Amino acid sequence: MTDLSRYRRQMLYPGLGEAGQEKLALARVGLIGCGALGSFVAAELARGGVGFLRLVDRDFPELSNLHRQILYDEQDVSARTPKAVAAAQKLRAANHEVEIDPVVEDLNAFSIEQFARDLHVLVDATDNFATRFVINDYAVKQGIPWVHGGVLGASGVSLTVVPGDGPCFRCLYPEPPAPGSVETCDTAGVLTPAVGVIGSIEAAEVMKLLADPGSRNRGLLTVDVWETHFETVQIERRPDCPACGRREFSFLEAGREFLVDEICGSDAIQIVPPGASSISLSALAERLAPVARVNLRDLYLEAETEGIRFTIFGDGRALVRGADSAERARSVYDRYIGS
Amino acid sequence: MIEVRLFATLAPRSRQGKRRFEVEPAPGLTVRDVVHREGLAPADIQIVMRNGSHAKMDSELEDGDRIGLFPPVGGG
Repeated sequence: MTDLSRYRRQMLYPGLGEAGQEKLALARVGLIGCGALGSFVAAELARGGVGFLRLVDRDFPELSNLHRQILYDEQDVSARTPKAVAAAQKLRAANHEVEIDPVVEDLNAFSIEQFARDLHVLVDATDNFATRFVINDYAVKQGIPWVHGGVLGASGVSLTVVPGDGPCFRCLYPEPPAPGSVETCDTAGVLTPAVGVIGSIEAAEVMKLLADPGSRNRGLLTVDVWETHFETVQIERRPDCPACGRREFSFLEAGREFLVDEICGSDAIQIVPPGASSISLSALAERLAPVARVNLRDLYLEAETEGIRFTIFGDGRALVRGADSAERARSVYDRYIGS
Repeated sequence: MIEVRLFATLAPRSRQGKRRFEVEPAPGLTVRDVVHREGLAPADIQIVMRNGSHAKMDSELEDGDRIGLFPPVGGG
């Protein structure tokens, strides 16, 4: 039997107790995204004694991340250590008893099975909607509980999805927003305390799902730290929900994924969003103007920021120059154009 | 009066630019009307809360209602 004495202070809380702590120690949890939310969730779950933690993230830390991505430091930025690897180092130093499995890859419709099939709970700490629809389809299909969290500005939301018991993510959001139509933390900003609140809520939901599932949050939590607003709203399960109602998991199928291709003979990487979308280039130009050099042309929009040059077309397709890999190109697409 | 709260990025994009304001009740007034009046597009709104419950854009509003509107909140 593992010695649980280091967790005495949290085991004293009767909701968890020693029995709950033992369940955490046996649990295998997957964290999708190791940015801002992921920093808080990972730190709290690893320190809290979750036995196995898989960290999936395709990115590298940047200086502009450090105000909110509290697992990383300037050394990680200059050494270009992948976030998942840097996070694993910090978490092992905080608690050598937990097993940390860093994965530096893109989680998508094709890779999720490989990363999630041996896990008990999934946690959403990603920065885009496209990945959340993949997570929801996979989790509902396989019957794996997952915790959604999202932040923007001073606001945040969280929803705990237990397949077959209450609404799923698609009951709340039937379809993903069109690529290029949403504000992101990189275009509209984000406050670290909002991230901390939602990340901590997500960590608490994971602990409850493992130790005391009846206590989980059953609504959509909405938070705004500038307004000191906390409200949980009831969400109904939709009988016609494509995922949990009709069990059609289209986000796991070919045709709903983003295509990312290096263009031969050029330094550009092309990103093509799924389906026929139509985005407002002028609205996107307005959103990008505070953070990028923007040039709106008749048929396309050029934007340049942090050494990355985008050419974005009205169907959401983008050419990305200055990104050293397909993963990086997709990452900056999600962060600046939004998906 | 009807209390309206705009979260995340909605207030700075709205006509008044306020995070919280009141609207005079009127027969048949819906959430959609309030959204239009503030110069926002219905597509900008992803979550409508009315008195603590998830509501629809065409929900009719009554005196004393509290509504809260969220855009897609997808950062992490």
